[in-house]
Amino acid sequence: MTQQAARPTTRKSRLIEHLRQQTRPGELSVDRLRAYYATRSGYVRAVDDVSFEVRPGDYLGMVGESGCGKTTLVKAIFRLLPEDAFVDGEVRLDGRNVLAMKSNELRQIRWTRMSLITQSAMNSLDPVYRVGDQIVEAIRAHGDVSYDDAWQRAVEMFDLVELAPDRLRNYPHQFSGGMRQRAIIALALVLQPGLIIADEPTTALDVITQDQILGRIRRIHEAVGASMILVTHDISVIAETCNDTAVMYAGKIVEYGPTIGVLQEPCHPYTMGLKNAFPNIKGAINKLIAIPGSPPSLIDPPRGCCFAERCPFASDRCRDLKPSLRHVGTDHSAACHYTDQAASLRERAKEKSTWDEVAVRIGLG
Amino acid sequence: MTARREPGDRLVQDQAATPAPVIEAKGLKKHFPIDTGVIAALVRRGPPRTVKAVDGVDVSVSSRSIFGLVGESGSGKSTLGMTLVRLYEPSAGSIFLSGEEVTHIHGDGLRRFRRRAQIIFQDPYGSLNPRLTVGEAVEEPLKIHGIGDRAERAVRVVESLERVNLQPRHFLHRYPHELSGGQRQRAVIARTLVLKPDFVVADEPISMLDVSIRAGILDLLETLSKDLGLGVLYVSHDISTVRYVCDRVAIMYLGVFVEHGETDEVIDHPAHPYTQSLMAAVPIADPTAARKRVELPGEVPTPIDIPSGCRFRTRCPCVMDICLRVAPPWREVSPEHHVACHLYQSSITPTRGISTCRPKGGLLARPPEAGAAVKPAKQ
Repeated sequence: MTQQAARPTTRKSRLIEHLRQQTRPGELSVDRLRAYYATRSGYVRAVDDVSFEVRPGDYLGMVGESGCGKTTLVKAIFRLLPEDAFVDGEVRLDGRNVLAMKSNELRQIRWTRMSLITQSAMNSLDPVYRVGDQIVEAIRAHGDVSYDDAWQRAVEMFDLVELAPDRLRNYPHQFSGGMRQRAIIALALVLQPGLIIADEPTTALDVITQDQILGRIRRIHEAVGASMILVTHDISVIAETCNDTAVMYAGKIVEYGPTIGVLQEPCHPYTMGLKNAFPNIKGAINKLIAIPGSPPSLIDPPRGCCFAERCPFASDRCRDLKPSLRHVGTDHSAACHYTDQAASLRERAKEKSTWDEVAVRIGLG
Repeated sequence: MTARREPGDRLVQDQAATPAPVIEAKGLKKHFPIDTGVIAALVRRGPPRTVKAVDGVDVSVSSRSIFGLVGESGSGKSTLGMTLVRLYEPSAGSIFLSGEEVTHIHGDGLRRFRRRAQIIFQDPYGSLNPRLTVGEAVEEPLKIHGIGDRAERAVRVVESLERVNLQPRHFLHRYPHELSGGQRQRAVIARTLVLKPDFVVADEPISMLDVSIRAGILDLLETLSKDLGLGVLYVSHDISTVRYVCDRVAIMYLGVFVEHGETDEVIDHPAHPYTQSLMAAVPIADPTAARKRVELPGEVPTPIDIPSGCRFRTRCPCVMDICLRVAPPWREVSPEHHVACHLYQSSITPTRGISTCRPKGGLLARPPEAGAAVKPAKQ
């Protein structure tokens, strides 16, 4: 009994050790990235001048609401955007510009240097192939590996994410949502990528499953050492998981820095508002405060700050002049004209009346 | 079937001070038959199997209050909500609206019932007809129920829109596609209110909305409940939002309630091992906070084949022999806080201390935390 319990752990720890040795943490630097979609009414500026970097072994959280461009950003990094999308800027993975790569170079680095854990696990698995065969296919597409060896690796990966190896012979529909997501994680890890991007990996899952999946991703990150980006709308997930946080709004990064700094002492009014709006299971029950209004059109973005319309502290300067990211502390930056007054703004942002004024101003009150 | 509740079990009842329940259900069950086709009928042995989505629930919601219903997907919480407003025909048990039995009413009676019991669905994109303006959509229920003439209806539509903070002059003639998600959900709520219902089921009303606007909808629900005296059943998988709006909360697992009580009491002192793990799984939005994680093994069993005894026993970290055989009866662990778990059974004077359940993997009971001190001390 005890022997049986002990064996898998040693096997697993050996596997993790192997993965750790094989994994060379990736380094990503995104520089002035723009990704626009062409529509009949004009370009949708889904990602507009975004720069950030992920150092080897970092765990970056990217948080924003729906439509803020976070998924487009991920797709642009992976070069998964449609042909007619306009993409400009630089995405350097381990020093090489992904955006300039030819398709065969791209094929080589996808899955081996960077992999993606997508939002809807149902859509990322092919419904007519067995899950195991899909993992084997990925392994064999990137190396001269026999089917049996590849299958053996798939078995090991399933072991790592705590799925029974005989489940490899199942089709995706025979899996529950949580199991599918674990299978995707296994797939994302199987070629020891240096950078793993998880785009809303738990959005469709229940809290208990979400907790299992996030815990597993984090443990694997810690054990294997790959660099990670977690994209989500849930600031509590970021708070628990990521070392660094980037807050996105209307296609731009509006605040960026160590998670503790960004969430404890936000310097951008949007981050302050987001914090107010977010329920917490612990601590004092402060009334939740919504941010009035809705994000601006990305086809015709405002001339000045993109948050000015919903911002309780906006001045004429904000409406006329786009703020750029400026340093507010060590590694912490925010795109606001009034970062020097951040401390007093933070206090005012805690009052519901502050935000009510915005509602009146934009005619919702 | 599993007789989970014996007669004489305690009902979810509000204290004497609060008004009589607007909606009340006793022993409510909703089973969905499966393999009912001709071939299945020829092939199978025994009676057709059923999905026991709701399997014996007692619930009562008083007016002017919000009752939270929390559970994972597949726990039957939406089915319970839909059965309470008679969108599903109950398989067993009875439902009372303001004391009047409505379990099997039909025809005109059901029509009158629908005016008084309404439901708000999760998806504001799917629940508004794209070809109707907001004004038309809100007016439609009045037309269906033949209420008022044109002028009277117009007045009620405007009133209703004002209630949900959609300025009529801006929104009356807009189409759903011109509205943001939050505005759409407000329009849906306005349509619900126009009939002046007594009871509303809000089935995950904010889970498809953006975080920054969720608070506004929750606020609105709270205000409406207090101002109009509505009884609201707020169905959600997100226990952290429940904390902000609900007076009382029930935790549902595999078709039954496992714990219910006042919201603060249940959240600060969860008694059932399932509630404890559910709470432990919720991430905390404070990067400096440390959370005790409890990983629950396995997944929710299928509601076709419900485990014997306690339904949670297949995943419970504190499972005992008795749990395999006997469904746990209700126990009051503190005033108005009830739990269905054998851990609390043996004791003559049940106290919270028992909740220190020590599974092999770790400790479920959590130390008192800073947040608890903020609230008025109970007991």
